[in-house]
Amino acid sequence: MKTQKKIKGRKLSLDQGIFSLRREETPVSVKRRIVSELIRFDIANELHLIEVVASHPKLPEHFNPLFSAGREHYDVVLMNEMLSPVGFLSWLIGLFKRNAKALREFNSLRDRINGYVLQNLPDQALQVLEEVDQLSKSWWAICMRVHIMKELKKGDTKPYLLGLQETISKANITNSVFRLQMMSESSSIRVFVGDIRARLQEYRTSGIQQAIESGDIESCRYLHQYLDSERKLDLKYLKVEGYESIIDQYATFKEVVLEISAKQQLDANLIVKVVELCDLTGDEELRCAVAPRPALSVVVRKVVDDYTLGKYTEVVRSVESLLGSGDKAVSGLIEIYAKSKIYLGSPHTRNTLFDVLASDISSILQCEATTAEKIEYITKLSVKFRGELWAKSISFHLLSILDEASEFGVVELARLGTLALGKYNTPKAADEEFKIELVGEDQIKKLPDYRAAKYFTESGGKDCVSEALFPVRSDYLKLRSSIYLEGGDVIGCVSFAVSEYMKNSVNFYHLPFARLCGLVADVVKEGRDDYVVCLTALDIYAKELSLAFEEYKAELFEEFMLASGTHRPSQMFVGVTLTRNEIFFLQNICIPSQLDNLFQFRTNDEVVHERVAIIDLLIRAMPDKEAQLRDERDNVLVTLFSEKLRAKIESGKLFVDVQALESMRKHVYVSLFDQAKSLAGGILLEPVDSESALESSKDLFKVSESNAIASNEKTEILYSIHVHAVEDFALNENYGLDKYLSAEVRHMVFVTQLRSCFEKTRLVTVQKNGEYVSNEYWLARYNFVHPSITQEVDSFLKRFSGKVDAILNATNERFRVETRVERGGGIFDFTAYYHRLVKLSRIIETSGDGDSFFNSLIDYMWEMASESAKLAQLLIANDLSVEINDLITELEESVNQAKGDVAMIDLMQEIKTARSLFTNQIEVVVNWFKFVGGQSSQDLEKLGVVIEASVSSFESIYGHNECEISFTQAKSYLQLTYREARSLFIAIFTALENSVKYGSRCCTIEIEHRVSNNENVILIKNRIPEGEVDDPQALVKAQKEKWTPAHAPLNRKEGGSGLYKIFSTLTTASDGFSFDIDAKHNEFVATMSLKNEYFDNRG
Amino acid sequence: MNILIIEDNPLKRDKVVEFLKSNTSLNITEAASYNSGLLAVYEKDFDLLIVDMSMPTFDRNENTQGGRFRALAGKEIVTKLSKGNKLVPFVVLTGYKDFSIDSQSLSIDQIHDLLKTLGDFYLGCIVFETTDDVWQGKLSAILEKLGC
Repeated sequence: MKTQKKIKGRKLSLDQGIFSLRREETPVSVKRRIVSELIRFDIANELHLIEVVASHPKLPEHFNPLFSAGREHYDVVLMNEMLSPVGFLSWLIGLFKRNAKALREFNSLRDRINGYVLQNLPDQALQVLEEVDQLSKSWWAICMRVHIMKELKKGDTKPYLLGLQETISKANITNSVFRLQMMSESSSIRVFVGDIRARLQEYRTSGIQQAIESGDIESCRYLHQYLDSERKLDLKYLKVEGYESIIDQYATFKEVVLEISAKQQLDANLIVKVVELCDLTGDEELRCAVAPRPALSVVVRKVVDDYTLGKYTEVVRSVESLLGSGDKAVSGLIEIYAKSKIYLGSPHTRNTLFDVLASDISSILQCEATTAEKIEYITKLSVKFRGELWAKSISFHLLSILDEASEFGVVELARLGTLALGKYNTPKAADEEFKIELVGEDQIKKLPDYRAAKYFTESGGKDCVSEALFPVRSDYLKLRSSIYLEGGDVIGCVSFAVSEYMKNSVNFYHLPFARLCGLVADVVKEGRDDYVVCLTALDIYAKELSLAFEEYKAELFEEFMLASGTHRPSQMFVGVTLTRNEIFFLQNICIPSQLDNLFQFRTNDEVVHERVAIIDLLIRAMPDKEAQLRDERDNVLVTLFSEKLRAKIESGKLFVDVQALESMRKHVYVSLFDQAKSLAGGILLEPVDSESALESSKDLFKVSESNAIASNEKTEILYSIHVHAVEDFALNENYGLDKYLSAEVRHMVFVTQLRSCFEKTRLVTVQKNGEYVSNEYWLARYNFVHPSITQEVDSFLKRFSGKVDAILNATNERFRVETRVERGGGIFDFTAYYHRLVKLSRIIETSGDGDSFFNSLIDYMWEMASESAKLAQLLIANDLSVEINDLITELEESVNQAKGDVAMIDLMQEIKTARSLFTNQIEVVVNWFKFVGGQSSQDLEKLGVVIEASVSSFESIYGHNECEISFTQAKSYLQLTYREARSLFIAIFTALENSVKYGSRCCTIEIEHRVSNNENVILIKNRIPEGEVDDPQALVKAQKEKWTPAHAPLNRKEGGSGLYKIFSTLTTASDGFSFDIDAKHNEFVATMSLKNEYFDNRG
Repeated sequence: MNILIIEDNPLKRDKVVEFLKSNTSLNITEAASYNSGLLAVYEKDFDLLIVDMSMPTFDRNENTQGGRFRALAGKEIVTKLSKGNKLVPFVVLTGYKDFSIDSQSLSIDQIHDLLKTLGDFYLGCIVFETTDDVWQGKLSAILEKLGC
């Protein structure tokens, strides 16, 4: 019989001669001809013909993505780029048919591999994987290999992963390797899942259909559906992975078909194709998508029946036998096996992966302390082995056990994922509304009591359901709760759930907190107990699961306080023996962030003091926890005082050590006062209304249009007093305003405070050799975006960094004292303007003696400082704020333009966040210049409070850096005046800043407070980068040599390490302070000492 | 007409008060925090509230940073007043375009959508810029609408 030369389609036909190499033709021209025909068929919608071409035995191998030995991975003609989605689907089905034998073999090998995996036989599994590689190289095999190495052999997979690219020359697999590495090596599988979800979010909000489709397929490949309920699969999306091996494309095709068919009927044509494929490949899992649900397999039926009737020994024996023979019937039996082991009281050997999983399920069912760990482990394995039957089954069984704590709909999605188990799927997974079916009264009688109780609860209900009756703890908790709820006793159920949670917090997973929190709003609370238990349930839910009910909890708390007639919970429980619930309520709910919602509290102090009163109540109620509660009490008070001190210091950056000034220089002013008072004709200076009046002034000699000098003794002495006052008040290197402006504003503080907004949001980088470095964070974050876009965005970020730094530094330079008419730009202007001399003359005139003159003079200096402070505020709030906001807007617009349609949501979000943070920080730094005046507070501050305030202030600005602080504190009774406290605060803060600036990155900075009989010592240690300091002792010596009065100008200079400033700040404030430094090759230590005799017994 | 301004930033508050004082028929009360704002409303009747969005729980001074900072204090105030049937017409006047709470960020448009659920009491959201007077025009329009 003649072979048919043409295969007819609806309108077109396939000439089978297209595959033949004609005379003088090359394989390339054959390829082109075939491609051309395929495109023609595609345009004409001749899908059957496309399928025929793909499945044709004469199709050149180069079209077939079967990368067997001798063929490189990805060495294939990329038909997905040439055909439409529908056309490509037909192409793919044709390829599957062509490779039916290989796929049949693959399915068989896959079953064997899974059998070995469950039996914990990694070497055998890896050996079979080699056979899969012989069929075709694939990512499926690569992933399986990595997971087996990591999870079963507990080996290091990094060398294998890093070497993968070398084995694949036809494609850049960096992103795929990165993803696999993240899945394999992350400390938690949630990191990997979170990363995919973040990317999916980007794709789905981009509006770009291709990105969305690609994302959905990627999601299907890596995640169970319950982990991404938003995806909407379509077989037409499969072309996005059209370059992968036939094994990978088949695996993805299967998952997509199974997932679609679980929710809706497949297209009739497609059903025919899939059935055909199943017949060719022997794939019974895929058949489950298109065939009616098969009857339970005989072996699984037996296991289920034995389990139902309590024949647990039989169950265990059967399952272990199935496992030992590698039978995939074992895939859905992990929960049944685990429960049988519990009922038998039989321990798990944990010799096989199957038994490990079952053992972990048992632990979860029994509410053991390691529950969270077990959940994490099972989830990790189920994600890693995502496409395998046992992984799908255990996902469902785990979520169904945890259904009370699972999001709505998740359990059902996981259940639909078990469709592929077909005849091996237990009724619990196969049936949406699973109910036990028993035939005959005699069989019902055979049910163990605790099993019968689940399905045949007698009326009289919950009291019959006792804990002792149930070997499986989870069953007890769920059944008892459901009886309460079915009886409408919500408060009763809440009390039960709370009580069980208190006994063991892990019980949370099996108690209906989510449902109860939704119901409590509608329940009438009949007294204190009802309110307390409802609030407790809401709080437990927030701690364990989500903040969905936090707003309602706050409302209920207020309602409760109102009903109780007080805003102070401590008053409600005075003289009362506290119940367990009341203790929980007071300890966990009556916290400052809840109390401060009550408007009856007028200050934060009142809130904190109420919290202290509550802790006192708790100390009396729980004597066994007294030590812990006292610590909490102390912490609360220390935090309160340190925040107050911090507020005081941070809002009082305009500081002058008036005490020191007075003690050292007052006599000079008294003398000048006497001199001024003794002038013949008096000291009063007449104001000069205009510049022209200068011409006729007897007091001034005009030098230029805007400048004049003293022309007589009166103006000369006034000028002299002014100059002295400015030198002392504003410029003195030991106690003047500029010293503190330097230490507390200019020396890194101002710039860092504002720059931190952009560091936290990762929008700025640092300079290296005069150039801003690339923003590696965003480059890595968007490694899936075209490099031309990411490079452009990176250039914008570099430009942004430079401009922000330039503006911040320029503004920072303005916070200086200015004393000359030829202005240097300093905003604190103490120039001797004529009107100021007039004012000074009035002060002298009205002062009765040297003392009152000195005080008035200081007040006047503060007045000048205040005028400048307002200008500083306006400079920041208007100029700086506007300039930086313009830069942020410019950055936003540039990035938007560069990225076009590409979704870069996280980056755009961070730009918005940076704007918010910056606005907030502008208000903070404006506040630095708000409070002007003498701070002669007589309050004493505890040393512990001062150290705490310094550390928390530092962390608020630097906390986002990679550096961590290790902070240990001893109890101390030393007390400091405000002035001393302030100096120590600045010293500690500056030393910590130095540690960040000069120390090793990513190393912990240690701050330790030690107490001895004679002194208290604060040590600040940081590691130094290797090779950074050749001669540590020489460095120490060079620094210490500067610690003399001759180097006082260093107080006002910027650009140094600040060590002199620390030394000077401390030693000027008190003789009881001392400062020292030491360095080794890899460590620098700054030591601040306080001699006890100076600071104790002061109260 | 009695107006309450709830705004923690003194520079901004001064500017708004200065602008409003040009209209002599207005009685202006100031509050600088979530708590003092709520108290003011509970103690006295107002015809209009001008509310900032983000502010501390309590008034700040040189001795305290005002307790917990609330990114959505303005929304919390009006919601609370609404639940207690004490809400009066209000307008939000904010310097922020975006509000960060934990890891989430809400834009001013999203805040606007949330506040619309409070019905006719909500008179809109105005962005306050220190260097322009667009906000003044918008605020004036609202005052006119209220008959002032």
